[in-house]
Amino acid sequence: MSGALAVMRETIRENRGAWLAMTFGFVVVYYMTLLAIVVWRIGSLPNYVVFYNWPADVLNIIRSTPSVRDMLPIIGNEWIFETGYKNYSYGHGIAEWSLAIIPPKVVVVTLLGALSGLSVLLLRRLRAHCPARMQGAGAAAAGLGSLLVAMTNVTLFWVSCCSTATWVVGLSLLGLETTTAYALLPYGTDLSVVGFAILLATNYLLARGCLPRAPRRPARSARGLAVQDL
Amino acid sequence: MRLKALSVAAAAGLLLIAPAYAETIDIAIGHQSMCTDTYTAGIIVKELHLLDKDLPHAGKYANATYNITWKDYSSGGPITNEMLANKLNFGVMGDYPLIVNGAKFQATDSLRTLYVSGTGYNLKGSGNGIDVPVASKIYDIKQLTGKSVSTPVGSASWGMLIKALDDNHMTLASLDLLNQSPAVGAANIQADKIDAHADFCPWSELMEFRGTGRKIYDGSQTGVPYLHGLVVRKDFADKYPEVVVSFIKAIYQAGQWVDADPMKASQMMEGWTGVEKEVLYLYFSKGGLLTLDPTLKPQWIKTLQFDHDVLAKADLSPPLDFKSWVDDSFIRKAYAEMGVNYDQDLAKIVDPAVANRGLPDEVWEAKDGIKTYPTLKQFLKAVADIKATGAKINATYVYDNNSGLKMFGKSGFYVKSPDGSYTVFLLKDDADSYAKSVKGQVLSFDQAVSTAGA
Repeated sequence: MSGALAVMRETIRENRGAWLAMTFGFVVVYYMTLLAIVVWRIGSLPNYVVFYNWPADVLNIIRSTPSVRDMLPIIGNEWIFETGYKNYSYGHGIAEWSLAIIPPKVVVVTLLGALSGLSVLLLRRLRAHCPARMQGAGAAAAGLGSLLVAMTNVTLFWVSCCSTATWVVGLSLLGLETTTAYALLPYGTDLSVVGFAILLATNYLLARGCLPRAPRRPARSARGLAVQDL
Repeated sequence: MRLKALSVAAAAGLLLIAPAYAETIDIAIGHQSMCTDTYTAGIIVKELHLLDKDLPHAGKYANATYNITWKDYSSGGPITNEMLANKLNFGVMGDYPLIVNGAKFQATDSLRTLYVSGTGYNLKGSGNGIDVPVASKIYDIKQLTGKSVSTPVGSASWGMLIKALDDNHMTLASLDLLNQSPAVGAANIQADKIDAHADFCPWSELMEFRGTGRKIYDGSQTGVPYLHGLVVRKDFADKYPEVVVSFIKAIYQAGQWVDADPMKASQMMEGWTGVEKEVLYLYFSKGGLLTLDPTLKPQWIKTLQFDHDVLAKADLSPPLDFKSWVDDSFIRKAYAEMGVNYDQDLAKIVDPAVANRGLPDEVWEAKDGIKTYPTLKQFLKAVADIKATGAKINATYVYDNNSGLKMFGKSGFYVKSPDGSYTVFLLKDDADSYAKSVKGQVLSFDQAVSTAGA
């Protein structure tokens, strides 16, 4: 375990600039991709932005919510920024969709960026002494983990869904069939945790794959003769 | 000397006490200007400053000042989130979001809301509806099998869709179901991109009025009442119960203001909301789709329990203890202070099939306002005459023969009987059956106007 961790630390230390760029670049790319997909799907460019006083809102929640256990999920839903499309054909304008920036979600996406970035660096390091099949498996596993986390942290809103969870609405907006999207609804947190677990496990295994290999002892055959690994 | 000392002490004491009462009370209200059935607790109260007029200024509120803020939302969901974050004290919304509001708060350890007042209702569920593109060949919900149908999932119209399908031995899986907001659904109906869109008030009628959609299913066919109401954070209600009572008085007064002159009210509300006055008149006029009545009827609680079961089955709502959530003490106090008999209003239920029987059909002329006609034949003849003069008609209103529901004249299916009389129906199936029974002829609005005017 400590050997794998040392490899991860070393990989980050050796590629600090690239790792930081990938971590924060991932966040930017993530939200830009969400925006691009929704614009492509709906066909309307965002026409409004709203900034929220997040610290003041959080303070207000802390003051007015007696239970800490209640406080955290409410804070977890507080928006700091919103952009979207308002359709002025109806009433004085009605928002059709919006993309929100929610600080705790940004933290999750940043963590996802950091782990994905590490996967990329470890895969690059493996290239020298690992079979392509193992690299492919590593990349696929990291991709799956990232997808699960990314999918369950979508902050797109289909404004008039009266009681639906954000990430599922986001999936519908992104084009996933409604029944399938709603079937996934109860498993949001689980999927996110599984995604992170896959990413962590992948990075661990990749780091182990990068460990310098000690020369193996020749195994003994039943007849007591040394058998050389080929 | 002693008296002087006492006076000084008393004055000092008063000075110490006074700041506790001289506070600014923030009242933040979330409403929906695109949802007609919320208006008597929302846009009307806001624009006519009814709450400001009713707020207490005596007793412990003697030195209080009020800071009232209104925030407009597209649906009830975000209002609940803002109430959880204590950015809103009051929220006005439809039945499904109301339930989610109560349930979400009850899912917390320390926060609660109270359902303290209604705004209005339609006994049979009108306000929700399913529309198809106006040129569509679909006339019946059964024809939707395998078709693309959109709805805002989790909303009242989604609940109606589930019940409607169930009543017709269909399931959601039999449709190509899409999750779309009202504005997107309405735009897609207009562009003929989807086969049908199920929505809540006033979107069906908006599409009909604009001539982009045609209703194939009315919420009233489910027989499940459609209602809206007001929720308040319990911590706010505990601290300022008199403010809650004042708000309910304002809701009652808003209803009276509408009933006094629905045409003028519709015109003013159009200015405030951007929703066409003709659509608003369909809801707020005598015999309209909405009965303005804030009382919390036991039937409504049963309806909300039914709605909650639908939401819970779809994993869209935590449990809700209705007993602790519904609180009629504030509305009873408001009625008592206004000198209105609450129990009498509570017992009153308006069934359009009964209440609208015999109401005259209406033509809203752009120049001369609303004119009424006692029979359909006279109504159709009048429309023909007005059209012949080239005068502009804003809208026409008739009543479905079966349900008594008010609807746009142009949306009806007319049956001309052999005796020359006319009968109008909301649904084509009903018109066809009736025509068969009387050996009559089914006509569109334009055809009926032509034959009556000839």
